Amino acid sequence: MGKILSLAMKPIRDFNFESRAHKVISREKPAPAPKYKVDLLELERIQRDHPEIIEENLKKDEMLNKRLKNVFVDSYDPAKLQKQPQNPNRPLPTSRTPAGDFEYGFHEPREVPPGRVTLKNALQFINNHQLDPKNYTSTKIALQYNLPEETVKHILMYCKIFEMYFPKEEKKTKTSFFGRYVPRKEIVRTKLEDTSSKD
Amino acid sequence: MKSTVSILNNELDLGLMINSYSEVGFRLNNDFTILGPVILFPRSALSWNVGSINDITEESLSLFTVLEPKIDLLVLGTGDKIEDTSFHKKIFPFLKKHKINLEILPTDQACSTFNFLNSEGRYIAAALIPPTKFTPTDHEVFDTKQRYQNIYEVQD
Repeated sequence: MGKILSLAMKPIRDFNFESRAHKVISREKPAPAPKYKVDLLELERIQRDHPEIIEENLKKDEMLNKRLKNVFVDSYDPAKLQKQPQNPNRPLPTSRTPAGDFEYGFHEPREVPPGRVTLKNALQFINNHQLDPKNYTSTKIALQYNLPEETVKHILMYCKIFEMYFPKEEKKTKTSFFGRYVPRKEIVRTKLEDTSSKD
Repeated sequence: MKSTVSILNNELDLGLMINSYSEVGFRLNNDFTILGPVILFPRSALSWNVGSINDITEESLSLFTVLEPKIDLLVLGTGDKIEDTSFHKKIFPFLKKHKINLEILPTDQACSTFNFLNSEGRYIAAALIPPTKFTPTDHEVFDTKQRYQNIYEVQD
């Protein structure tokens, strides 16, 4: 109902609105908004008791005016951030992704004291010796990795790399059987190079 | 309430673990079967050239004395349970000399100790000898049969 009424009243409300608007805009000083009754009463009280305060407020403060004229607000672009030179001895991280797992499950040191060896290198020389025992003798390994020769001999004697055997999948025959076909798994030795005959 | 179970051995990114053992060797969680005694590291395995507990000497454990960084703990699986302390007495001076932490256990307990410690991300090693006496349960026999053949078929 309200909407219909407002729609019906619109032409009357909008009558001559442009000239009325111009009239308001062209006024020298806009009319101040009406004050609350409480404020009016307070103002009245001050006027009655301390009229000098009102008088002082209405006066123009020349000193303040002069100072305000000296105040300027300027804005500048922020100063560009200067790049800090990097210390090559203490480089900052370049990647922020979480560090992955270690290859052997633990952190491997970059430097190894003499007489010791990392697991990676130990596996390497055990493997090398097993594949080519004539070339990779315990003396050579001991020299290369800075290990006591006796220890290398014992390591090579007691620690070996595994030989791998893979199950051979049975070939499918052309004959069709009744029932589900189940390929059997069977461990078969793969062909290994016979190094002993070459020597 | 909903309960969930996560099995350590099924989480492959935790490293190598032992799924089962028998008189001939060990089955790892990456579907490899290892025959004979084994030296296990968090992510690698080596064959250990020893026959029985009598072969476990300073020489056969010499690999662990030179590793850098030093391993946190060595789990030694002795196969069957050892009754007397003569082995402990024999190995003790060696441990003291090289400051190696050692846990001497029967192989069945050593396997689970290694699995747990490995899942915690420790730098450990296990040197295990398969037990000489091992009585599988019916369930284990069934599992083994199922792995190799259709159990409802009769072999020729």
